Amino acid sequence: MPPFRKVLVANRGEIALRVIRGCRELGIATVAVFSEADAEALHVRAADEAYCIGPAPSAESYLRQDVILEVARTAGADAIHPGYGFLSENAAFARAVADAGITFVGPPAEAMEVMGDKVSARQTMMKAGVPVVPGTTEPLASVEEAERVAAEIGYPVMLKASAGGGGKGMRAVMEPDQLAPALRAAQSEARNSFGDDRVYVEKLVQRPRHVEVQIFSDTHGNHLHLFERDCSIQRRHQKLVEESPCPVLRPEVRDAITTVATRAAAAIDYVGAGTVEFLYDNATEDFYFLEMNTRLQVEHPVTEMVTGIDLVHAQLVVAAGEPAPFRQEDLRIHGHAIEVRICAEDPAENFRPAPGTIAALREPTGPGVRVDAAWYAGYEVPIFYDPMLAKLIVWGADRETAVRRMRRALAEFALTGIRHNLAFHRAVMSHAPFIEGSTVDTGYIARHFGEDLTLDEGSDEHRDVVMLAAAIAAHEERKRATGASGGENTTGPGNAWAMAGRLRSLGRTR
Amino acid sequence: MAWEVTLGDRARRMEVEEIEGGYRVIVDGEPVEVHASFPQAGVLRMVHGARSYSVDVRATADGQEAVLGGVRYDVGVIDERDKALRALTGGAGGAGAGEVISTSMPGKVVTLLVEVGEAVEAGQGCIVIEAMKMENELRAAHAGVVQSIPVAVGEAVEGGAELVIIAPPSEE
Repeated sequence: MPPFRKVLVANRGEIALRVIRGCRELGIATVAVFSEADAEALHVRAADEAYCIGPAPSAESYLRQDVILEVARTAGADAIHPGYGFLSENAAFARAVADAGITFVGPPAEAMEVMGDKVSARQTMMKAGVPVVPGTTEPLASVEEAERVAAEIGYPVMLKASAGGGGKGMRAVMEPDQLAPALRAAQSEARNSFGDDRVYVEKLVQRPRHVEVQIFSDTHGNHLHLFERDCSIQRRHQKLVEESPCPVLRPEVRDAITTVATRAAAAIDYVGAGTVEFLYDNATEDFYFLEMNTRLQVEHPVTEMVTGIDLVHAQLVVAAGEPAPFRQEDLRIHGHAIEVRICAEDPAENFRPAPGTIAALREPTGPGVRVDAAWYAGYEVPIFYDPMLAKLIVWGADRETAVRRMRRALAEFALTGIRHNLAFHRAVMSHAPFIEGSTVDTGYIARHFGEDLTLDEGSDEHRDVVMLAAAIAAHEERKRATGASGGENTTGPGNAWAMAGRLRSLGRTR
Repeated sequence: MAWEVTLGDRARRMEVEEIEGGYRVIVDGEPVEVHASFPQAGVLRMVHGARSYSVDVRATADGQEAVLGGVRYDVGVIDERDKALRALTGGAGGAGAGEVISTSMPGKVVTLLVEVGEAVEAGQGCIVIEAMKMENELRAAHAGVVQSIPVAVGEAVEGGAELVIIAPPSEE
């Protein structure tokens, strides 16, 4: 028996398609919603039913709780899967869905609320015995208080907005005399970005790795984990490369961090898939709670690859009230997985977003390769949404094999018509400090990119070849454009060879 | 027909002839024979010597975009006759010819940083365009005077749209 009859997927892009695939495998019918800009999107074509929910801007479509709920009722969906982003961590939406008698595939609204506010999350975690970065749990009331607390925990410190996210309202303070101006700047940025100027102070963990634990809970009190992911390759707090397991974690530390993460989940009566993020200190092996994401993560596939667990299936099963479909003792890390995020951003132009229309697209295949995407040749990348287009995930028996496989897969990719960051990923996968792994931290890109981490500019041999290729392509195009005046080459490129072959087989020569 | 093919600081004259199983390309007077064909649209497979290559090619405004080994090359390809024509009509000059700031990507005009009639320095920011939640400031490459601004704040613009037209600095 499928856990649900029909699931509405309140999202777009690759994650909508990912969820639709999971539903289909379980025999669940799917309902897509889409904005006017997404009428031709792949998630719409993949679903059993599809409803337009408004104009292109997210606020008028994918964030319209009322419209999405109305569609769910009309379509007779018995569950809503929110994906990530958009309404996935919106407690009010989770409540409204439940009130409508529909199952929200995610945690209870209360768990989202506790974790959605950084101060309440920190307080709850401290109570549960989860290590947090030393600092205040209360918003700072004055400059004097900030100075006192900063002196107590020791410089350098980090100021953070309570309502923050995406690096907004954050300021690193290295010296006491920088504190007052930094506090004013953080408060003003927080007010402008979130309408909430509460700011707190923490010790700045220098050169941390970003290590996160995939947790998974059910309604029967089971709080499990699926090990960790390392997402230290970030640019301006946006993850670009993720892997599992973390290449530097010793087994004892892994045991400690995963145990703490399940304790965090238990403390808030969590249900479903979630991620507890930590800062990990390379030097001391200490780790500190950063935040919890109460949804499926973008990078969930690396965990799926090393554990063999389908997280979307598992989410649907526990959302229907069943126990988790696996036991902790059944789980182990098998091999190594790496994911790279493919974004419409040009690394040669300071990662400038570059929407456009995809001309040619050939995805890598072969052993250990997975592509999660929702694109096709001819697809016009809309300007309204996130520039992440796809994820390339590889699995290997160990990290070295996985890195080599990623290099191979990246070289197979053909993606033209838009600018993208595949060249950046190729550079990372050939970069000695990444391959060695032990010195990687969240400052990796800022420290290396443009220095010893540079984009491949090609070889002289390849420059010779592409110049020949360009002349041949121009020749064929001209032939087509001039209306096949040659007579024999009338059906486009390649035809000359077919003709040559036919002539040969007929024993004739030209 | 002969083509003027350019890539970075390289420039070659190439004549393309079809031969059995491929092409003969006369590169600056030297013939090069390659086995090649288009097994699928936009993909040229080529064997040159014993080396095998697969090049993704796509026509652009002034040549071909080619991708080989994951690296993208913007190759200029013009017909020699077109080149001669262009030379006759003057073509685009360097400084002194004025400038059009345009956007390569579709987006929305967020801020105008200059006004019509204003003198701008080389490198000065003129307009801010938002696309994909990111703001991008577009700058003038040369000094000049803003002649016209065919767009308004809040307007959605297509890729390639002209945003700010700058005349060369007056010679007072």
